[in-house]
Amino acid sequence: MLEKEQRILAQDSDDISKKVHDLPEMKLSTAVRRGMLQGRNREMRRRKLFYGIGAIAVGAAAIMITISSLGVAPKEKPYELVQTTRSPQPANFESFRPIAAQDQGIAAALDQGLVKRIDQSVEKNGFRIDIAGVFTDGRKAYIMYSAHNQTDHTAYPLVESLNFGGVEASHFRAQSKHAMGSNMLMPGQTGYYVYTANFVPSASYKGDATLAVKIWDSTTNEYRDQLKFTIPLEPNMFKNEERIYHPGSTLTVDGQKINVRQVQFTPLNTYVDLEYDRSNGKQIFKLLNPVLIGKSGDKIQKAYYPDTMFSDETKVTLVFKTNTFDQLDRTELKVAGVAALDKDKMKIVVDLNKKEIIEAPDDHIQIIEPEGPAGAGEILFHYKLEKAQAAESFGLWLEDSFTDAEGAKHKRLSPEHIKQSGHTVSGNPDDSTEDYNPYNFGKEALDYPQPLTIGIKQYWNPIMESQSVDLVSKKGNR
Amino acid sequence: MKKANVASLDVMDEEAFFRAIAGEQRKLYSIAFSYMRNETDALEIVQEAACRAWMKRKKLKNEQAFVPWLIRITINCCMDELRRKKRVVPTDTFKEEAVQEMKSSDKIDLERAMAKLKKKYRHVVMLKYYQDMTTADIAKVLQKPEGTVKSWLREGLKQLRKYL
Repeated sequence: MLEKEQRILAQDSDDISKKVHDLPEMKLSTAVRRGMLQGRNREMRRRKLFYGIGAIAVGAAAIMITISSLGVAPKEKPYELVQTTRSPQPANFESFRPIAAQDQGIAAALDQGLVKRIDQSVEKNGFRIDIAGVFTDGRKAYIMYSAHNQTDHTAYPLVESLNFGGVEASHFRAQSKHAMGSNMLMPGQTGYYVYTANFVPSASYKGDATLAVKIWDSTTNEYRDQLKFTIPLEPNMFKNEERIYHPGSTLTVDGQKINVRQVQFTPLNTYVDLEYDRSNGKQIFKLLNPVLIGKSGDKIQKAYYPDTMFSDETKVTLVFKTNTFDQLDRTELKVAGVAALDKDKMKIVVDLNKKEIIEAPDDHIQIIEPEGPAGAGEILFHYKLEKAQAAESFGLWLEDSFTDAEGAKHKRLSPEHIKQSGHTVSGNPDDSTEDYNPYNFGKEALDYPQPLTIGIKQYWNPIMESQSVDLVSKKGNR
Repeated sequence: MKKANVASLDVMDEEAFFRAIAGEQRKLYSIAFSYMRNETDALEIVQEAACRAWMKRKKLKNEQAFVPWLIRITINCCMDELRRKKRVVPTDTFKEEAVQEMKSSDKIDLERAMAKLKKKYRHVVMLKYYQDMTTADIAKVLQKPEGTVKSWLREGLKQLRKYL
């Protein structure tokens, strides 16, 4: 039976949990965006304070910071090339099972027994790293390792890079996943991690893998050691088990073509490589609600919420958490629409002196008076997002530079005075929200030849048109 | 505690940083709400935490400790705000708030008891009972040994029992 205080805590926690759950996501997104804008403002003010009065950096930081820092600039030693030795005991792969909840590739490898056992270790100054096992499918690499902190300081490992034959896997979104609250290891503690990295499609990876690992010491706030070592791992362990299809099909949404370049099923994931056709008149920013659908007779299977890899203005790869759909009669990709904008509308033209928009993609975006004072050269864009649920925090994203009427390029400044930013939920039943975006041209811009043109990097213009495209059928298009 | 999907924070652009925080925003809000007890204040805490996280992003050397780092920032924001409120709001208004919000007496007693707890005990109790974190996870957030966290939890509950 619970003590009185535990009973009251449990009841209170339950009540709070319900209230927390009810809050619309947009309100949270708004708060975060506003906070980041405030951060930029404060950074700007801090820089001005520093340069304006010649205060030393420590004094300026003392005004702003109330939280203990995790470290100052680390003193870095060069990497030490080390040989691995056999681990003291064979790894138990099930120790990594809690991490599988975060990545279907890990779950698939553990469930299907696809992990290549390595059981090799490196140790330096009381900190040991055991490489338990590895698996790669030519698109992603996974390194399962444990770290044992036998020092008397809190420390943790950081995988800096993974390369094959001198060619590095992509740093973007490379990370070590773990099931603990923090990467940090107390003295005497052991942690379990899985490092994942994506392979760059155009790169040629060969040979064994070399890992570069840093050990961060939280007590001394510096990297205590930096190690490089090689493990026996090829870039694609499942080359003989992958199924690659080149359907040559095209998904067309609002007349915009999205070419299916390749569909690849590996024992870990399904990768759908898409390219936006160069002839498209619109720039596609995002596919809305992509779903992989497999059908065999009456049987239908679906995979939702793919991850994306290497997304830019020309292409995107969807990574679905499944690997068996090509065993069904037919597999297709379906989308609810796209977020896209005419390429020749990817700009906002502003007369800063008149505070008027001369040209914009549509009339959803306006310049409004901010609630508080604005600096010279600062304006506030107000943008109404329709079909906001599908946007999922997709924000207006403008270039960091702008051009004046004579074509000269200038850099945008951080907002100085305007505090409004982010989304607000309109409360309307029309599924719209409002987005506030300050833009600081700088006061000198008032003297530049007008109007000023800002390039658009991302703009919420949803085109809701449900379309699907065939990817694989049993009749074969390999 | 799940792992945040972050690349290197010091080179991450604003949109990517926003997405990194957005992945944890509800958790941060939950923590803030458990301290502040109302939506408006809790949202302001989330905003302030995002502000501080943005300003400190380059000082986080291990991007893989992103989530505990964010939680620590959020807790510190809560404590700063509670200290500020204490300076301007007389404690008499507790009674007034209770009438307006129709709180149970248990809840009022709990809030008062929590306010009296040493802050280290309060953090541990909050993270354990409101965020359902293990003592190991809490230790990572507070950067203390797990044994210390367990001892703080025991002591915190003992004090709550005394006040309630």
